[in-house]
Amino acid sequence: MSSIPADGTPPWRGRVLPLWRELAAGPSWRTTLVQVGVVAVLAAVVAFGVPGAVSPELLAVLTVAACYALLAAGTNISVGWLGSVTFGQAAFFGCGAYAVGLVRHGHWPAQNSILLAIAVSAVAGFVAYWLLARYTHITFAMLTLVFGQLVFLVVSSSTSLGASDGLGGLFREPVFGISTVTDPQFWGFAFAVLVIGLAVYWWFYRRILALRMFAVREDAGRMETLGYDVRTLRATAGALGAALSAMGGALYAMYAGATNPTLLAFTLSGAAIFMCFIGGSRYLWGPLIGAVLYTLTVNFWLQSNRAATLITGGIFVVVMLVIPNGLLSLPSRLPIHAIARRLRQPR
Amino acid sequence: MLRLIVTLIYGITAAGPLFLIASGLTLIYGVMRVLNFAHAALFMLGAYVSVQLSGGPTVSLGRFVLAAAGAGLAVGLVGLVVERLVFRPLYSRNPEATLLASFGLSLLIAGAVERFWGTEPLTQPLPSALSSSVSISTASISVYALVELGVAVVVAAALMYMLRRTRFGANAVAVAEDREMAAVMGIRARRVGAIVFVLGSALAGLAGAIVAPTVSVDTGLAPSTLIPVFAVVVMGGLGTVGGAALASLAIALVQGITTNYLPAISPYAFILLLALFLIVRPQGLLGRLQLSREA
Repeated sequence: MSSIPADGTPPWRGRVLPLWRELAAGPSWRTTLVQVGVVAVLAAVVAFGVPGAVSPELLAVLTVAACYALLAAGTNISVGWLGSVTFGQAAFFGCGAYAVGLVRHGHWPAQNSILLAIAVSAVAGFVAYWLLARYTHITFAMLTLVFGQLVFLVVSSSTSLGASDGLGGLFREPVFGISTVTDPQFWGFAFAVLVIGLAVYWWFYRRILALRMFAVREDAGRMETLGYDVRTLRATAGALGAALSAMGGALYAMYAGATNPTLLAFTLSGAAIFMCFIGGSRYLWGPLIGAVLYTLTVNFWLQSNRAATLITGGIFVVVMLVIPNGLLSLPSRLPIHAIARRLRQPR
Repeated sequence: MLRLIVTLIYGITAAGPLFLIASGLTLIYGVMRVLNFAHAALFMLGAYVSVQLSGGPTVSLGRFVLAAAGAGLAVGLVGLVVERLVFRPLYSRNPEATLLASFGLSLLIAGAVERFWGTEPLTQPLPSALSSSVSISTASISVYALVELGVAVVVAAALMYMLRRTRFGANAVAVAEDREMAAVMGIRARRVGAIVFVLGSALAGLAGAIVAPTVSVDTGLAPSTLIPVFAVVVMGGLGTVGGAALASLAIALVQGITTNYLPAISPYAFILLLALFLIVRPQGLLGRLQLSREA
């Protein structure tokens, strides 16, 4: 054990790697490549198979589900990884959508619009989480709600952003020269964006960086004591979550051909949290499952149902009470697991 | 100068309803450490119940008072049921669990209101005895606004008296301080919690009934109330009744002043105030810096 240097820095301080080395630390590249290959084949099958196999209505809902899945994945980085419940994630979703809306007259290729949306939102997310870093738990949740609503109010009263009507007249611009005008074409594009977004989400999940975020969730004070820069960790998580959500928002704006302030409203943030917890916020793919289930439920079962809000609220309360870790936790709660656990235990 | 005075008077009267809604929320948080997201939905429920109970386009003063009491009672009962079924099983879990469950609950209650009363806005008539107004030079202030302010002052005084001077208040403070230790000392912590919850919910219902004549009673009431009330509670210091009273005064004044002098920023002036304030004093006006993990 080395002694504490004269400048007072504790010796363990040196264990915190620079960001680029943090990102490099993770599972081996060989396993990663195999997994990526398998996913790529599956993804190609879904991307090209789905438009022919499902009805146009279902295809439309699935495209929206792809946008929401990105929103939910971004939300889960704050809610599930960092343990900070946010009611303001829709602000980043809307940020992505409005970034696309603002460049509509430039007829930018779709990939450039999405990259712009991601860059703007990532910076916004970093700054927001940096500023809110000293608030945790309930105060954080309330402040994200209040400031998310501030963004909503500013946008919905700003005439240059279309006020309450939003920005219309967006065209589905080609991506790398490939047309995305028809719904099946756009589905292929949306699915590709979804796969890229979720691949980034998955890649980060396996970094040491994500592990540090989980540690902040469990005990931020101890992480601070161990010499980690908790504030930067929080801000990084915020930037990452905002970027993913903005991808979803940008995609949504392109698909719908318009933006409107409801994309920033806290009801959407609430829906995003709902998706995370239905699927299971502690599971990697919980938000994805939750987003797909939520979108399908809202658009088919609850469409034109007068009790829609009642049912959604009821489901959420029951989930929080009965399966707080989401649907993905159900397999591990099967009786067989309890028996196996008991058998493993020494008498 | 006159304009400023008039603005200030309007601002002070606007603080009444704001505090009435926030009082129950801050009481429940102060004792139970539960931030009840559904509070605004309960407030909306109170407004609907009072409209239902007063029935018809005109209402007598007596019936109006009865309807307000009925709304408080009904919403208090809802609070009792909710505490039993939803919050009690969650106390042992992390604070986010209760927050999220109460968010689900807010959807549930708002959905139920929408299901039973529809989406058409309702109006609550004002009893004719209260619909006059008093003039102070150029300003005309409705008597009802003064009534609201009066009720708010009474509620604030009653809550402070209860928490500081009564046996139940002492028990509640003990439970807030350390739930397990209070239970060990023989305080029936569960019962104290349930009573506080019922009381807080009843205040939400009462606030709904009292605010109802001045607003359009529709499903947008809960979301539009939630944000200013959260701002009041955070700014006052989570869980402090006196802080909530001061903060509602500050926020109402800022809203009044900006509406008159800076209309461009008036819809979100209180959020800017909150942001500035939190930089200077993150624990809120009267809040203490908490070392516990709930803060």
